[in-house]
Amino acid sequence: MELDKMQELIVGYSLDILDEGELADAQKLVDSDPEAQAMLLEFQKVMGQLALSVTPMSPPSGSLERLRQKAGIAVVPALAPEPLPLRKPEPLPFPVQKARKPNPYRNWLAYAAALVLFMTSAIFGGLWLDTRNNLDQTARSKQDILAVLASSDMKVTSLKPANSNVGGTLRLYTDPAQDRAYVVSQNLTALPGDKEYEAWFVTNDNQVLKAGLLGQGGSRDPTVQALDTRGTVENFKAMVITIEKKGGVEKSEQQPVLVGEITS
Amino acid sequence: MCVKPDNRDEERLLISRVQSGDFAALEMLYESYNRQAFGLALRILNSPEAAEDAVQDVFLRFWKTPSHFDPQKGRFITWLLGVVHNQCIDQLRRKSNNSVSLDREENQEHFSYLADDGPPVEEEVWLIIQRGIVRQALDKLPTEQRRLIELAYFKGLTRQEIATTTGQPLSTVKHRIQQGLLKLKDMMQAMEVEPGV
Repeated sequence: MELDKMQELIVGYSLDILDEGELADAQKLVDSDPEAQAMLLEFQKVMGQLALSVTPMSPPSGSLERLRQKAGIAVVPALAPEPLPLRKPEPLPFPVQKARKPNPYRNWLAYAAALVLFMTSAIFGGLWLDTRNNLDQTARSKQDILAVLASSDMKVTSLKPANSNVGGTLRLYTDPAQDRAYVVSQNLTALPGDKEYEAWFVTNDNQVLKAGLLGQGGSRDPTVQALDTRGTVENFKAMVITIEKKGGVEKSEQQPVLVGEITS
Repeated sequence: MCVKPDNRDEERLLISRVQSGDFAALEMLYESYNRQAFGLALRILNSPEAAEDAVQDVFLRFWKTPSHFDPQKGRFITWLLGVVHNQCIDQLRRKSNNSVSLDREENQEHFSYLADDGPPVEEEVWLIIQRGIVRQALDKLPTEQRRLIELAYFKGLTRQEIATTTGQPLSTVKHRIQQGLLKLKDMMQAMEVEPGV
């Protein structure tokens, strides 16, 4: 079959807009032709991405409860326990012993136990507060990232390899209005354990400023990182990435492996 | 700050828990992705109740037969949106009165989904980036190509129905849709960080 005709069928098949006759032809093609199958896969990716173009919307409130009801998952409210009937106390089965002489050391033991309990509570309370702060920071970070991406002044810069030994993609998102910047990196060539990617901003007057450490690469999934802008994002004209020792350096003497010019 | 996403592994773990009959795992997937799915369903069906039903039906079908999704073949969100799209288009086509508006629906950015519930931040950033890439690519398409693709994708019209509705010859409709999708495919491959699948 001619490529053009195959494409026409596969496009229609992926969009599900073929009439019955063409659908049967397309189905036969997809079932038997590896080239058609590969083509279908590519167009199905496009369909998937078209779906992502739609803005997310919140369904009416109570959606999760309705899902549970449809699934037959009932949430049973906890019943209040019935009060126990009052009973007249029975006489003690053993004779009451005479009061003993108080142990002078018992009070000290009680104080020591109270002190240990207090310190343990303080430590765990501190850890809990720390966790809450981290969660709050994560929630704020999420808001920060989304604010940059939503900014009308946001600039996107794709960095290009300056060195054929380093692969992967790295995209810089800057928001001059808020002086914030983030990078999204993916598939960066994995570095040995003692090395790390480091980002630098180049200002309009050719100063080179530390922007942050980007890890050792090797991740197939996109990695989002906030950068240290240290100044006015509007004054940055470029970003470069170098490979430094793990932990970074104050001043790089390495050749850039990725570069990108920040343009409006 | 370094936020390294591990959400693909977390996603596989949740899928595995659903397969083991853990409804709480399904609820977590629902809370992460129902907004994107609902947005798509609403765009197609134009009714919040019908859109919610469609999305929930897909989730419940997945709950009953979790083997329908194969984590090796791509992300859950991509599979989910594909199934939701098919469900909604089938529903649309079954409706007796399928009135079609040819006006382009402008989507305004809603930030109501910036609630604490939702996908992990890395996933949400990825979704926003992908959305931006697709929209940029759609904006670069010639107007008619974009319009016809949207009629096919969001309204479920066949090529003949599109030709009848727009008054264009069938051959022109076929050609424009084909060219438009080819351009979209090439542009998105050139622009994106990684394909969604």
